[in-house]
Amino acid sequence: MSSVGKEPKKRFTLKRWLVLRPLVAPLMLFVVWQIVALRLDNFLILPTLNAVLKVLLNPFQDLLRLGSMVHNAQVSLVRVLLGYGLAALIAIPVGILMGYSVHVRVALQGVLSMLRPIPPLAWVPLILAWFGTASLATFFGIRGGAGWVYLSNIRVSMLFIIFISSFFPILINTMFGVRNVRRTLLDSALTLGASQGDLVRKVMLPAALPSIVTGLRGGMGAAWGSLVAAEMLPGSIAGLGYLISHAQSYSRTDIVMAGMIAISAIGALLDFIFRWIEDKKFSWQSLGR
Amino acid sequence: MEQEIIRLDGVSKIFYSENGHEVLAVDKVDLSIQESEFVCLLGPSGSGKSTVLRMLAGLTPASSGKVSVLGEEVVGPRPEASMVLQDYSLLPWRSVLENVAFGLELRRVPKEERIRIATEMVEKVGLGDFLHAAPYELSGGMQQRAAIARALATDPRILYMDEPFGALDAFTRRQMQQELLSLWLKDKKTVLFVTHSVEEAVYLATRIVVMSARPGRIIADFPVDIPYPRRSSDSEFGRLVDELMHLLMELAYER
Ligand SMILES: Nc1ncnc2c1ncn2[C@@H]1O[C@H](COP(=O)(O)OP(=O)(O)OP(=O)(O)O)[C@@H](O)[C@H]1O
Ligand SMILES: [Mg+2]
Repeated sequence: MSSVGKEPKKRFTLKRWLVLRPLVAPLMLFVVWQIVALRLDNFLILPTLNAVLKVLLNPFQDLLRLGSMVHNAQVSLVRVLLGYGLAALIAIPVGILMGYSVHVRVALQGVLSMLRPIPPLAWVPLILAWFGTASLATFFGIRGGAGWVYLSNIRVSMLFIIFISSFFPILINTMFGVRNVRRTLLDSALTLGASQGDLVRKVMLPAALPSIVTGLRGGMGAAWGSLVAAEMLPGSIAGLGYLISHAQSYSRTDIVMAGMIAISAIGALLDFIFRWIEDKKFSWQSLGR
Repeated sequence: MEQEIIRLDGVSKIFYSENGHEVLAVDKVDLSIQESEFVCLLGPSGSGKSTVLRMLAGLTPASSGKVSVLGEEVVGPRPEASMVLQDYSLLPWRSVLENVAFGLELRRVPKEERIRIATEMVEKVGLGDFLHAAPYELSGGMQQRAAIARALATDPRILYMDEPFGALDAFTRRQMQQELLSLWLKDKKTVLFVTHSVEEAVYLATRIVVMSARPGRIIADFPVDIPYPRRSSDSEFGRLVDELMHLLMELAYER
């Protein structure tokens, strides 16, 4: 009896400790980082943990006269959301059409599989030749007012890079989502009297939605990933990518690392939001086949 | 009173496989079904039973011959007919009620009315406690009940069923067969029921049509006169099952 009573207790305490498992690796990384930083004592190569933390814990403090971390993050976020939103707006309908119609798919597949393997960065020279440093303000011919401040900060070339990197993940996932709708669902709907429009709106689209959200999630990751590249383009004067490349030329490795951590944290947060949507809204998918 | 409701005249279906092969799935089938018959289409796997059903349901065209329902050539799904498939045919993101109301929704029946009709149908198949449950929360048998309710909600004259109980355990299967029969005995809708279970065909049908495997041809067609409710222990039942088994075995050895 007594040994039976003891066993679960032991397991329980062990389990409680297991909750901390995800923290082990980061903690070790921080410890090693700090030790190496202190040993090296070279601010340029590796600033100490506390130097980087100091930047991160004062997110509203102006950095290198480029504005605060929060301000730059905001600028980046607006850019990404704009390029990404544009990509989603085009990729989702095109993906649905490609999934729905063999003819559209065959017609577009060639050119898309030609464009897809090109890494977003490889577009840069061409994009610069096309758009130079034109901003959305020049693009729309806006010369003043409240909108100008924002629009002049968003270069067409940046939008293009972000657009092109998030476009394909969204398109491909949408297309496969629509194509993989179970035949039995389509047949049942047809025999119940569904028109082609009903079929798209009431069967294909909802059935493909989980896949579309997965595409949106991948697209967001890709868009955020190409942000730094986009913000290093000429004409950029703000944004996290600009901040870290600029900080590097001022030998402020602490700001570089703080900026990287901010990029990572925001990217992880965005990804988390999509994962949350996938888990909450589409429980029928994993459980229902 | 006897009205012909389904007619196949020399209907063939050829599929073209990916490597360009022609597959003759259904070979010159003639079949005439009267209103209120319960016909079981029996045959081994690959004998073209589903293909015949899909042509009748307007899901795929015949390669040659004429498929007609109520005297009209079938060119697409028709409002007088509903279909129940083997499994996973409910829209997984919709509740049971919304699924059952789906056909009515597609026919633009006003919301209140379709909810009233659908609720009634759901209760009729014994799922009254699961109106708002999602399909994945139901057992296989319950999902098929919902699929049957959905097919009946549009009040069709013809019910096509493609192995609707094929994925169920023996007990649930028998239970569903009984319930289907009692539904059928009430309003005598025409049923065309595909199965490869000899026992199931003899238990349900007023007429059994046997198809052979590739190319799919009708090789036997006869009425079943055993009164309902049938029992598998009846001598007449057993004799018929044996006879059909024998026929199908011969068919298998001929190949
Ligand atoms: N879409 C298709 N493309 C190519 N061949 C097909 C297609 N559908 C069916 N076939 C072929 O036609 C033949 C008949 O198929 P069908 O599904 O009608 O048989 P079945 O009698 O319903 O079989 P089962 O009892 O296994 O359901 C099979 O040989 C099958 O391979
Ligand atoms: Mg079949």
